[in-house]
Amino acid sequence: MRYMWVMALLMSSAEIAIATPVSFKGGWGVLPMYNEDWADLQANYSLSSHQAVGVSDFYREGKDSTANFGIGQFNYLLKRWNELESQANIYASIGAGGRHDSVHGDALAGYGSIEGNYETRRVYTLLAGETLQSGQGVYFNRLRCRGGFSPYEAPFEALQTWLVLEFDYMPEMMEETRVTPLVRLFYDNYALEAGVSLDGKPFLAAMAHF
Amino acid sequence: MKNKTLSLALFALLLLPSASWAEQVTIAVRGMVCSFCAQGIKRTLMQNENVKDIHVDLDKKLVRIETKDGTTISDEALRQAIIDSGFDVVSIARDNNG
Repeated sequence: MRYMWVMALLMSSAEIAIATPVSFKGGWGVLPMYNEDWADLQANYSLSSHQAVGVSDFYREGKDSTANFGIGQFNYLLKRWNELESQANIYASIGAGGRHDSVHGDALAGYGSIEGNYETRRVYTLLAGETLQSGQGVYFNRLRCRGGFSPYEAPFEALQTWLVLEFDYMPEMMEETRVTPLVRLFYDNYALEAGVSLDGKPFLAAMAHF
Repeated sequence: MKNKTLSLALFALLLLPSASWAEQVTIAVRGMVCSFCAQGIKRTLMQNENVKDIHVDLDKKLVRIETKDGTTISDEALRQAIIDSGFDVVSIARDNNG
């Protein structure tokens, strides 16, 4: 199923992609993420600067089985603080769809998340919790915490580099906690994140706004 | 005949500046700290057919817009574009460039 999403997105022109759950009015976005034991592909369309609709295909290798979740979701910017030298946001998302599990088969699934972030031109922090729930005890929960900094203040047109440390707590996974140092690069409407966790798991994510 | 030619030349000179008239607008924006997120401002404003060029200054938190010759953009349209991009407007200043 995840390959179907990749193909669909590749075929649906270059007008795709996103990083945050909500971007600018009329903005499209896609956020593919890859880990060795889970992968996610999200696509969003922002109805306004506060609301976006999207689809997500999520795959994970759990302790007992592997599962695929296909979710349609609604993302909402609950609150934004625009200051001269900083921006902070709180986002919430809810969604529903289906799942296929290697042991338990097909079932309906639900999704919910809340995310808060704070950013200046040199400092970046994020705290997020998300849950995917479906029948027969097939679910995925994740608590994500990020902190990072940019070694320089890049002009609008230049490459901006961030050094980020991510902590994940995922109780359904083989390794419940994971710490990943990663590099985050911004250029134009593209972003790339790459890193390797302390236990040797590679992480790769790409983002774009159109 | 000489006077007529001179009059025509003067009339043409008077017309010339208005034909190439463009406006420089400077918007002070609140919340613009991330180059990736601020791309939304550029993309939203570029949808306005009167916009010729946009320059974003993250250091000064300014968005500078040059309009196409002979056109202008209302404060309300600029303010709405910034809000639709997810940011807040602090001020809008104009400089007619004749």
